[in-house]
Amino acid sequence: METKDIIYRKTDAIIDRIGTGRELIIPLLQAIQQEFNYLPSDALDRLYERTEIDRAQLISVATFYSQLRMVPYGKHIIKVCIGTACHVKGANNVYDAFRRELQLEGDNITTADGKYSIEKVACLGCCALAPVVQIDEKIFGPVLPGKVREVLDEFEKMEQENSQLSTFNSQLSPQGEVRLGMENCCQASGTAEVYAAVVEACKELGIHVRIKPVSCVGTCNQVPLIDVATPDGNIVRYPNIKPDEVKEILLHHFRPASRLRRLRNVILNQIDTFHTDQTWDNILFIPEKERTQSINTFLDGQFRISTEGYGHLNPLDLDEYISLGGFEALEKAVTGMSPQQVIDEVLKSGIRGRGGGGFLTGKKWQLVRDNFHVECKMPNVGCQLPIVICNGDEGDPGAFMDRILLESYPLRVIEGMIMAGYAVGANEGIFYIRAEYPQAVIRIRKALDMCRQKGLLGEHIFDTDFSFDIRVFEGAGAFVCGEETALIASLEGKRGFPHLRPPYPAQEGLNGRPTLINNVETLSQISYIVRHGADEYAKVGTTSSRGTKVFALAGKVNHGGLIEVPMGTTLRQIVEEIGGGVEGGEALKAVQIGGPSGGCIPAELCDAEVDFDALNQMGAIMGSGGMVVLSESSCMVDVARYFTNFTCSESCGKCTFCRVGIRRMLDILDRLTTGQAQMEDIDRLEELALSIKKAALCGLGKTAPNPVLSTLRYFRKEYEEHVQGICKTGSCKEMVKLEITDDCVGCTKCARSCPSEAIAYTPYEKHVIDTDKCTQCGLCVGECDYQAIVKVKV
Amino acid sequence: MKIIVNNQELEVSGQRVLIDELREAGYDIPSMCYASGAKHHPSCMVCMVRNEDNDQMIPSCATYPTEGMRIDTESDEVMTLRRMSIELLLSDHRARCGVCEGKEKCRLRELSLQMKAKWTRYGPLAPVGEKMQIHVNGQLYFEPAKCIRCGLCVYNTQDGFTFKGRGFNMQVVIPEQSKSHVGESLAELCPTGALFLKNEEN
Repeated sequence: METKDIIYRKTDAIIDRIGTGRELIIPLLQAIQQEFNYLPSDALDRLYERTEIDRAQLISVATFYSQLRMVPYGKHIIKVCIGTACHVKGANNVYDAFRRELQLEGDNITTADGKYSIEKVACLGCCALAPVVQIDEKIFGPVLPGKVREVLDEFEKMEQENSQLSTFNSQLSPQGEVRLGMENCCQASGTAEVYAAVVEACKELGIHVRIKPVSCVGTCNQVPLIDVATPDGNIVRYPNIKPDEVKEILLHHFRPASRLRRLRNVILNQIDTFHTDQTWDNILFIPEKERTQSINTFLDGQFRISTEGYGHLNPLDLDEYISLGGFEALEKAVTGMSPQQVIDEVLKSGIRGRGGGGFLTGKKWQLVRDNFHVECKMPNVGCQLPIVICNGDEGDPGAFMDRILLESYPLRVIEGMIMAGYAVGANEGIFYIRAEYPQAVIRIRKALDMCRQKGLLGEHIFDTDFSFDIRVFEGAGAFVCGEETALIASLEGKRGFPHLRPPYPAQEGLNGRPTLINNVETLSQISYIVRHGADEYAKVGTTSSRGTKVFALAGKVNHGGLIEVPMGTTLRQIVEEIGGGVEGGEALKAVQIGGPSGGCIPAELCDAEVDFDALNQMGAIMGSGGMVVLSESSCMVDVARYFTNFTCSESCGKCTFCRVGIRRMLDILDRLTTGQAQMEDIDRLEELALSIKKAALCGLGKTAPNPVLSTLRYFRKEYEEHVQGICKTGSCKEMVKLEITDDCVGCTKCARSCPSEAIAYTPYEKHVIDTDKCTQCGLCVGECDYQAIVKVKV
Repeated sequence: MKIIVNNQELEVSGQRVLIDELREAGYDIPSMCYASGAKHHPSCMVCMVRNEDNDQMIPSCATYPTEGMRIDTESDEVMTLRRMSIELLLSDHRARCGVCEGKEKCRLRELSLQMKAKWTRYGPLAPVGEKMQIHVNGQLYFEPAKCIRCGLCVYNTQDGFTFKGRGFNMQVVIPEQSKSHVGESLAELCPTGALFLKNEEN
């Protein structure tokens, strides 16, 4: 425990560094928490003494954002992702398994020895690897309930080794290039180990190649993946590789530099072949076509605008980005076009905001520019220039597009943002990035620095009168801050309470200035529009929805990942062709689009085209682009409850309909999923949902009933079955129990695997499950070789 | 400036929020979280009217009239939603009106009776917490289980009452050190019996 003096001294240093204004409360609290791992009351006392922050503001803000905590946590924090994709793949069982393994009882979240704390998080954005768990900075996936011990062991092993990525790039001219995706999802599946293996193998074999971390390929389910580029320009792709296969691959493509090395390698290889049969089922013997077929079908049918350069672009190589046409659009705009011409071009392209609402981007820009010119409404603030905000507060569980765009294509987003600034007449921009995306924050900061050095940011860009700079603001964990007025409130150091529009941010936004808020993906499409022209852009997509859309494809689909498709592609094409069909050969039941604000589109309507208006008519929304595939084994009432539970805990609490109304909807859904509901509950649920849609104050509240309304519309029968106590998929735990059938041979595997001792150990006899002790974690079902454990109605 | 209310023209100043303009013209617009002259942010949604031009429900306490705006203050749809907001507030309110110290000034009670709101509609007498009364300052007391989170006491004190938490679990709290920043006059502002004056000697 640190003494009061030390805490005061450290807090003073933080205050000196950050400042004393009320609007700085979130950065101040984040810095304090980073220093002490929580918010000690002594540090807060110091804030009251030395800054403008008072108790009322502190309590109000510190208890609003879920990232901030008043109690100390353990040394390591285990975050179990309960995003949509993880939820449908059993994340709650994983959470329970960790609690059992760590022997946490009651409401405790920290182990007795203070080593681990555990919490659920809304989404880690690695949906294709669901279920996912993050321990400190390291992401693991997929994590099954039976594997939690292994995960903890692996983490502890890593902790001891403290493995750092050693950078190795030979000084000699490289013989070729090895490219690896180094995004979160890739790292979760072991790319870091593959990277280390490549470095090791190069040293050992004396091969000189350039090892290049590249942007996301999007095939998150086929990682670790490496591309080998040989000097003759060929690229060979190896998905799903293991560290011990790396050496073989490198030897296949590159000749070691020295003759002696070559001889030694040949001999060693021969010995290997004699002593083991390893080389016979070697990855090199699988034909290229077979190896990469699912990737190729995954990549066919996609169209790259936001993700142009996937798989070969180094996210932080500014020169490479420029050599591929980057910042051409900016130069063209700033030196050759008037701001109004840029706006006209964007308007003409027909691009609509990718954040959810689908408002015409050009029109929004025009509004901000016009408001800048009307006489100033806030005389006390003075007439200030507009400001541009990039909304990277991607909170939808089941969505990770913005994270990948920020991590893999930071320069493209920055370029779009500078152009937006030029068009509306701003001189300042802010990246608002979600707290859960530390990697994105790091990359954007680095990219901004590089742009500044190159003169692409700062004073007199391209030697014109246009000056623009961008800073980064880290969110503190609140879904509602994706709503633009709430986002502004949080930038101003307040609770993330949305306010009534009008006035719109375009009129009166951050500190009263006209404010342009665009989504990450929207901004990443701007450079294409300016570079190739609005007409070229408008050729892609449908009449009412132009361009492409990036989706995070996850859930019960064979090949999940990040995809970019032209608007107008059908949902079925996405699921069947790009996604390779439903996992486990099950039938498609529905596709959930738009997260907690969207809806479920049933399989029979999946021939519909992806288009803002078509989706709205079906009761979903384009939303930010989370797309979760649901199969016949997914319970729609459970899905509706899942999203309602999410919005209920993320509601800001300001207006009655959202604060109390959604809670009452959740009450009814709780009764439905536990078999205690009456038929009239369904009508009451519908009435509540329709009223909340009409009367809630902000976008979050108005769209929160969509998951319930769309499932009621297409799957009402399932609701009625739940009233009768039937959940056909067995997802609602209270309505089913596990039973062992006569197929049991008494192998005792289930009894040994059961963590709650619900199955008695009876060799060679049929086993029996004690329903009172059973937690339905499902471990035994997976263990049984005879499919003798089934779910039955209670 | 002219606006159209329930298909009838009405001349308004345009300088004040709709609720004030409408009330002055004799329309009965109920509200919980609004008090003329006090700082407020729309939250209760009881003063809702319908904007006929875009079919949106809007809180009249935070909307300024615009020229030619057409609004509806009395259709079934508006009345149903107003009643529902009162019923939702009631479902989270410790409604023991018979023994409530603040019942004379309680607008929630008044509006419930007026709108014939059923307080059992959403959940059977939802568990809303124990009776707990906190002494604030002088004769001022605070009973959290009766609070409807309208925020009037938060917005109208300096470093006094504040929000804690979010969503359904959001509470209004008063830190011990801040109690002296709050005056007795706040009781009048509170639309329920959550803040009330009690003379210890009686």
